[in-house]
Amino acid sequence: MSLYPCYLGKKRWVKNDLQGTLDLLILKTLSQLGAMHGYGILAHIEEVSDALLTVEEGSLYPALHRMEQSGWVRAEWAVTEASRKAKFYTLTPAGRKQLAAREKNWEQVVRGVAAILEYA
Amino acid sequence: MGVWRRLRALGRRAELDRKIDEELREHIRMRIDRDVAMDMSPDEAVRRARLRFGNPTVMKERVDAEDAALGFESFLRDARYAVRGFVKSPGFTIVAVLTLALGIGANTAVFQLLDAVRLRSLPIQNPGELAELRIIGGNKGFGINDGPYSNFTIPMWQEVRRHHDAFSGIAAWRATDVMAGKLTDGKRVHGLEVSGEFLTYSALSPGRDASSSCMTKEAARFQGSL
Repeated sequence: MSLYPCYLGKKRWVKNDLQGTLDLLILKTLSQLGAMHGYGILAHIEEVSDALLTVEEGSLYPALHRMEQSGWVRAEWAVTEASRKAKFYTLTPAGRKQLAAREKNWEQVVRGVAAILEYA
Repeated sequence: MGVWRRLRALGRRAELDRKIDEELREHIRMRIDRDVAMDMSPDEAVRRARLRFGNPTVMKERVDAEDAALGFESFLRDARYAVRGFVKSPGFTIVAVLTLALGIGANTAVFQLLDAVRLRSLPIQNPGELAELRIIGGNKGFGINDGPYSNFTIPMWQEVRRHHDAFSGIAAWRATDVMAGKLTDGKRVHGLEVSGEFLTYSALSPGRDASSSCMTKEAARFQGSL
């Protein structure tokens, strides 16, 4: 069963709740950090969530590349503070729209689940 | 937009692969750097990073699959995969090919028939204005009975030919079987006996083949005097 019964944008049902959450986390992180590389995104999510949330590289990079193909993020090669070359991702306007839709969706899911848990 | 990017990416497969490789490798290095900065031994840091990262080739393929998921390359890959599958199971391939061949063949045959009978217009100048005169209702005192429709008799045809105000021209014909070739070695062929006008109105002309060589004015006149 899908945790995201909502209709998001162009005929895109989010079938996998895990994937939907990962996209939300990545988009939100990019909106907070501006341009960031994959490693930075992982580190940010782990740090901010107090290591409650761990994202695996095996999920992160396919997700980032999928978002790039969908035009939600733009990627550019640049040099890090530690003078390493890395691919930096930034949100596009389409990505911001996605983020807004997913945040709203997430709130609804949380409210819905909370209502179920609190039902007496 | 995405389509153009994919088209451009088509010729840069190797470069894209290299870029993904590089991106993932840099990621591992950054992790090692951090662990070493946190007082882990470099060997241990490398080991942990490798362990966490898993098989780099599998990982690269998964990232690559996202890039190529909607790409044109995946089409070629699918085609190759399909061909390999066909080679592996010849029985299935034969059945599939035969099914397609029979299906297409039957459809083509039916269409050719329909095309010849219904779709293609007659080889005359104004096929839409063509009409056929017939006596309907069997033999009730008119014509020579030759099935449910009666044929015109020669005198009737001659009257119609003289007084056909509604038409710009008129011609008579009758289907018949004729013998072609030498008398000792004759072959029965389908033919038409026609009046002389028939050749004027139709795009046909007496050709060299057996069935149309009968359609001369002499033959028609001979038929007319029967």
